[in-house]
Amino acid sequence: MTNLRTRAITNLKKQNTKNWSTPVIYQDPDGIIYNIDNETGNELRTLQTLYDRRVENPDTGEPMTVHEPVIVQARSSLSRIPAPGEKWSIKFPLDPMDETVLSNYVFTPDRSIEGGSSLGFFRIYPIKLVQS
Amino acid sequence: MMKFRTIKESVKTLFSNSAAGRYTVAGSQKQTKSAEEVIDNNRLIQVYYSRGSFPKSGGSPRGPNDHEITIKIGFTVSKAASGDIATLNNPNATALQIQTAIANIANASDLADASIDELFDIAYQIIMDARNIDLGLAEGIVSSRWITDIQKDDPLPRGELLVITGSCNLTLKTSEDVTGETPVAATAIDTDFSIEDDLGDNAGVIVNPTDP
Repeated sequence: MTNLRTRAITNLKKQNTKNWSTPVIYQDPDGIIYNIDNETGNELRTLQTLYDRRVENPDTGEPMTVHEPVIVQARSSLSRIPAPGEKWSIKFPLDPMDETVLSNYVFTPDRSIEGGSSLGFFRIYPIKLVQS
Repeated sequence: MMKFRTIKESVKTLFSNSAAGRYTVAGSQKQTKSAEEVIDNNRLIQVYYSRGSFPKSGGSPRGPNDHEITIKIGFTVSKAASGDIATLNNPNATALQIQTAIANIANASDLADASIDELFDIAYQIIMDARNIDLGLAEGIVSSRWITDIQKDDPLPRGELLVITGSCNLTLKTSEDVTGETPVAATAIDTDFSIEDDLGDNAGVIVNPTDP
C-alpha cells in the first residue's frame, strides 16, 4: 500500500497530464532523445505547458499578460533530470491547439530547478531557439 | 520653440539616417517594450530629453539664457538562443551530431551582450564623429556635445527571449531665446528727429566743399 505522499505524486501526474499537458521531446547534452515516458512507456508529455503569464508592469504597476512558456515536467517521466549548468534542447507545440507542430527551444537550469522532489515535478523556463 | 526640442529631433535624425537596418529609433521614452517587438526590430534606440539646467550666470532676465542639456539615449536589445535547428530536428541525426549541435548553441545572454556592445559602439561613433559636431544643425546652435557615460543594465529574461537594456548620457549646451509663451509683436519706435534750424534736413550729410 502506498503512502499519501506517493499517492499525491501519482495523482498530480495523472490529473495534470490529462488536463494541461502537451507532447514534449527533450534532447540532453549527450545527444540522447527523450520522447517516451520513462514510467509508463507512452508518448512523453508535460504535466503542464503554460504559455502566457500575468505579471506586474514594473513601470506602472499595472497587470499585464506576457508570452512566457513554462514547462512543468514529472520527474518520473525522465530517466535523467536536467542539472544546473547543463544545456538541453526541448521541443513542444507553440500552439496548444495544434500538437503536431513542435517548436525548438533550449534551456539551461541556471537557477535551481523549481519544484521539490517531494511533489515529483520540476519547472523550466525555455528560451526560444533560432537557426544560426 | 526652444532649441532643446530641435536638438533632440536632430539627434534622432542623425541616428535614423545612419541606421541602415541595424536598429530602429524612437524619439520618446517608451514605458514598456515587448521583447517580441524589439527582436522583430532587431535593436531599439530611444532618444529623449532627460535633464536641463539654466545656470544663472549664463543668462539675463530677458534672455537669451544658457541651457545645459542632458539627452538620454536608451538602448534595448532582445535575443533568442541560436543553434543548428536542422540537426536537432533531423530524425536521422546521430547522438554525436545532436550532442555537437547542443554544445554549439549560442546562449541568448551572450548574443544579447555582444549585440548591445555593438550598439554602444555605433551610437558613440555617430555622436562623437567630428562631422557631427553640430549634430546636424547650423553652426553655433549646439556646443560642447559630449557623451559622459554609458551604462549597461542586467539582462532580463523576458518571456522566451532575453532582453538587455542600457543607456548613455549626451550632454551639450545651447542658448535659449525667451520669446514668451505667447510671443508679442515688437513695438516700432520712430527714431527720426528734426532739428528746427535745419529745414533742409541736411545735418550729417556730407557737403561737397566745391558747392557754392
